Amino acid sequence: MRQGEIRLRLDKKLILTTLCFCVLLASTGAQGIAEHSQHAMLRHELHRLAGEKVIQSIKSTEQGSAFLDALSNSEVWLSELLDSGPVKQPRRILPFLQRVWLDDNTVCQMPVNRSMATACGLALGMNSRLAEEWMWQRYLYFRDNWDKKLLNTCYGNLSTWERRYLARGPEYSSYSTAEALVYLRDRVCLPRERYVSAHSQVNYRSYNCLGGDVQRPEYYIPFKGIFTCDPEMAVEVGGVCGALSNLGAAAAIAAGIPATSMVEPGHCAFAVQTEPGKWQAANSVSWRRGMHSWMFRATWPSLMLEQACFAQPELVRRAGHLQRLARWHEEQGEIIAADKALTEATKTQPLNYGLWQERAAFVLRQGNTLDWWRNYHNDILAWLAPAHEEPAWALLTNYVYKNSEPELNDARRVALFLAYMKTFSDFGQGRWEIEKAWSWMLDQVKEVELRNSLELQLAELTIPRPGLGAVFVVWKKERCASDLAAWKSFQDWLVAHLSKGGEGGNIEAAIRSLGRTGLPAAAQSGDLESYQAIGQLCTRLYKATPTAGIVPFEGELLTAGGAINLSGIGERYDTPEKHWGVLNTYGGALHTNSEATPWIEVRLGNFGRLNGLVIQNRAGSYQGRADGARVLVSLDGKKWEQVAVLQGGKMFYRIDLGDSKPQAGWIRIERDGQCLHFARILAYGERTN
Amino acid sequence: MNCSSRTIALWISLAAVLITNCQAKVIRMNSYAEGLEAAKLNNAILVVLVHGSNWNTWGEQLNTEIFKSSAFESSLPDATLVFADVDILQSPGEAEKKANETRNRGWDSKAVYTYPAISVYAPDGTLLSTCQGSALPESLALARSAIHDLIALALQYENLKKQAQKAYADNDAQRELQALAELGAMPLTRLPQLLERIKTLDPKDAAGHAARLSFPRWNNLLADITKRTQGGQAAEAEAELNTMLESKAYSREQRALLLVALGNCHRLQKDHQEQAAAAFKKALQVAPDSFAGQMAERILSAWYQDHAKQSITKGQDKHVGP
Repeated sequence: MRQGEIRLRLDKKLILTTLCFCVLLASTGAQGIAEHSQHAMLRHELHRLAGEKVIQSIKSTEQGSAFLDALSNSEVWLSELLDSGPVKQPRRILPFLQRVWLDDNTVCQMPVNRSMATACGLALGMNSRLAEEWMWQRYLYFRDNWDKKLLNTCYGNLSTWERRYLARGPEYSSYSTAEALVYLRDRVCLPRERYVSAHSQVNYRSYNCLGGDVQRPEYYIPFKGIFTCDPEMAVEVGGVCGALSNLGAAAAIAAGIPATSMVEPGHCAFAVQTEPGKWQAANSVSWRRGMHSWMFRATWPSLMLEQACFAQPELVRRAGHLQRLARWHEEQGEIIAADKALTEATKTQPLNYGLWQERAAFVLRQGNTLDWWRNYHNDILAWLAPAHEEPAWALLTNYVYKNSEPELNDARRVALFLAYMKTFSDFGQGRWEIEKAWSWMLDQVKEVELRNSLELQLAELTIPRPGLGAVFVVWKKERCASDLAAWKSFQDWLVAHLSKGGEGGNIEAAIRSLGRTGLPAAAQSGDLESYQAIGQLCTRLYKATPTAGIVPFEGELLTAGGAINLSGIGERYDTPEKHWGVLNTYGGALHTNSEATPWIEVRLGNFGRLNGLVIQNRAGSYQGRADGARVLVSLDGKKWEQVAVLQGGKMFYRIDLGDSKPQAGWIRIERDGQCLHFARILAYGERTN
Repeated sequence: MNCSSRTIALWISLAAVLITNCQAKVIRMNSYAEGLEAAKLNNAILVVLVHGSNWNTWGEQLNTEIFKSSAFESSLPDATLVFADVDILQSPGEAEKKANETRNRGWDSKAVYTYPAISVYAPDGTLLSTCQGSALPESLALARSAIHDLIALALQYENLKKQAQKAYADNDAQRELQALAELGAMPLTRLPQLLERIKTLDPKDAAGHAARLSFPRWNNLLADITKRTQGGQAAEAEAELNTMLESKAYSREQRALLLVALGNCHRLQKDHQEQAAAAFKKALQVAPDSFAGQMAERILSAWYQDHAKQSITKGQDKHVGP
C-alpha cells in the first residue's frame, strides 16, 4: 500500500520523506515495523497519554469500555485526537468525548460532528477554567446548527485544529455562551471575509448614554441581564475595543469560522481565518499582538506557523506516527532509535513546533550533549528558520543557547547568532520584536570587541533587507539614545557601507536609500512604528510644505502615525522618502504610476470616525489629473465605500464628512486613466481605538 | 431609439403580466435594477431577497422554498408585486465578482447588517423596511409568515399613503391626519415631511400624534439628557422632561424612559440623589416589564439600595489555548 501511495503522488518532497521514513524503519528493526502499524501506535499512545488510572476510571462508568473500544477502533478518530495539536489533560478530554458518544454513538461515523467534539475535548483539556457543561452546550450549538444548515458552508471543511479555535472562543467567555452564539448567528451572518469588519456593529463609546465610564463597572450595570446576552448589550449600549473585538471574533465563531481575539498594547483586536489557510488581523493597530487562543505560543508568527503546519495533514500524520514511534522506543529503553525517530519526525514536518519541543525535552531527559544540541541547532536553521524565523528564535533561546551555554565562548556565541541571522532574508511571517533578539544577543557577548563586531555584522546583514534594515536603524538610534557620538559613528559607518553599493557618499544619500526601501516595506508589513521613525528621519531630506490654505476639520489628525502604500511605489517620479510628510501637516510628496486605475492607500494611525479630509495637490502643473478621483474608506483595507469624488483640478480639496462620519481605518484614492500626485492627505476625526 | 436587451426583457415580462392578469401577481426580475424599473412601471411594491448563494444554505432554502415558490406566491395579498434578488458572494473570483457587482448595481447595502434579508421598497424605490436577523426566524413556516406580514404591511402602507393623498385632495384634514398618524406609527420608513404635515394639521397636537412620533430612540434620549446635564444645562433638561411627563400623549413605556432620563439627570447632580431614586422608582412602577422599567430596577439595585453590586462580565477569564 505504501508503494502504491508513492506511485500516486508526484510531490517530490513527499517521496523523499517517505523514502527517509522507510530507511528509518529499516534502521529501527523489521520487527518494529510489523508490530507498530499507525493504528496500533495511535492506540498505544492513547493509553500512554491517558494513563491506567484514567482508563480504568472510564471503564468503570456506564458503557465506558464500549466507548474506549469505539475510540480505539477508529483510526481516523484517534488521529484527529492525537494529530491536531497539543493534547493536555486527557482526564478532561476523554470523559467529554464519552459524553458525546453516549449521547449519540454514531458520532464516530459523522466526520464533522466527530471532529468538532474532538476539538471541544482538546480545548477543554487546554484550559482548566472552562467548565465541561459550557463546552457541552457549545458542542451542541455547532452540531445542531450545522444540521439545520445555519452555519457558513466552510464549517464543513474545517480540520480539527481549526475547530479548536471555535471551541475555545474569544477572550470574553460571556460573548460566546450558547445564547450569545445564537444571537450572533442571526445578528451578524456575513460572507467569511467580511467578519474582519463585524466589530463595526458595536458603536465605539467611551461613555454610555447615562454617562458611565467604560473603564468602570458602571458602564454595563444598568443594562446587565436586560438583553439576551452580552453581545446584544454591546450592540445596543456600545463599548470600546474589548467589546468590539470580542464581538467580531465571537460573531465569526458563531458562523463556524475560526477566529480569536488578540491583545495589542493598550488595545484589543481580533483575527479571522478569512479563507482556507489565510488569517487576517482586524481592528488591529499594531503588529505587537498576543493571541488569546493559541496552541503552542501566543504570537502572530506562531499562528502563521500552525497554519502552515496543519495545512499539510499528511505530513502531520506521518510525523505524528514517528513521534509516537519515538515514544515507544524510549519506553523500551531504545534511546538511539527514539532519537532517530524524533529527528526524522522534525524533518518530516519541521513546521510542527510541538515536535521540536518534544525533541528538546527528550534530550533533557536523556542528558545533554553538545553534539546533540549542535545537530538540533543545525536542523532548526535548515528546516524551520528560513520561513519562520520567530518560532525558530524561540526554540534557540529556550533550548539551544541555554543548554549549550557552559560550553560556549563569546566567539562561538557570535558565530551562532550570525548563523541564525543568515538563515532568513527578511521578516518571514510578519513583523515581530526582533530588536529584543538583537539586544539579547549583544547582552550574551561579554567581550567588548566581539560585541561591537557582532553589532556591526548585524548591521551589515540587516541594512540591505528592506524590512529588517529599517527596524535595525530605528533600534540602533534608540540604543544610542543620548549618546550622540555613537549615533554619529553609526551614521558614518552607514554612509561608508552604502557607498560600497554605489548609494552615494553622504548621510543624506544613506537616509534616502533607507527611506526608499524601508518606508514601503514598513507600510506593507503594517509596521507603523518603524514607518514613523524612518519617515521622521527622512524629513531632514526635504523642507516642510507651507501650511497656508489648509483649513483643518474638527478632531484629531488621524493620518498622523499612519502609512502610505500606492500603485507603482518608488517608480520613476515617486519619492517614498517623502511619503511620511504627506500624512502630516509637515507635507511631503507621492506619485503613483500610470496603470489603468492608479491608487493610493493610506493606513490611518488610528481607527476613527471621520469628520473630513483635506487633500493637497502637487504644486505646479497637471493638477487636473486629480479631477474625478474617487475617495473611498474602509475598516479592513479590503471592502471600500466611496465617500467623495474630487472635483476639478485644484490645489486643495476639502471633503466634509460631518454628516455621515464614516468609520475608517484606511483611505483610498483612485482614478481611472490618470496618475495621481499629492503633497498632503490629511484625515480628521474622532479616534475609535 | 436604442432598445437594450434589458428593456426588451422588461417589456416581455410586463406583457406576460398583462396577458395573465388575474393569476400572476408576481413579476420576477433578474436583478435589483430591473426589479426597480418594473416596480416603477407597475406602481408595485418591490420585494428583494438578499442572500449568499455560495455560503449560506439557509438563504438558499428561503430562496427556493419561499421566494420562488408558487404556493407562497398564491398566498400573498391580491396585488402586483415585483420580486428580485441580490446575491452576496463569498470569496468570488475576479470575473465572478465583477459580474455579480454588475448584477447588484444600484442596490444599497447599508440597511442590511446580516444575511439573508428581505427588503421591501415602495414603487418609487424608497426602502420601506428590511426583515433580517431574529426578525426572519430560521423555520420555513415562521419565515414565510414574517415575509408575508412584511409584504402585507408594505401594501397597507401604500394604501394609507393613497388615503392620505385622497383626503388631502378632498380637503378632509381629519381623515388625512388619521392616515398620516397611522403611517407614522408603522415600523416602516417614515414619509418625508410627515411630521411637519401632522403638526400643520394639528398645531396644538391635541391628539398627541406629533409627540408620540417624535419620541427619540432610548439611547438618543438618554444620551442627550446626560450631555446637557453634564454641560451645565440640567435645569433646562429637567424642565423639558417634566413637561413631557405632563403630556398624556406618551405610552407607559415612553413615560418610564422619560423617568429614567429624569432620574439620571438628578443622579449626575450633586445632592440630587433622593430625587434620582424617586424618579427611578417611579419608572419601575410605571412600566416594570418594559426596557426602561428594567433599567430602573437595575440602577436602584446597584446604586440606590444596599444590594451587593452586580458584577459585570468583561471577560476576566484568562486564556490558555483552544
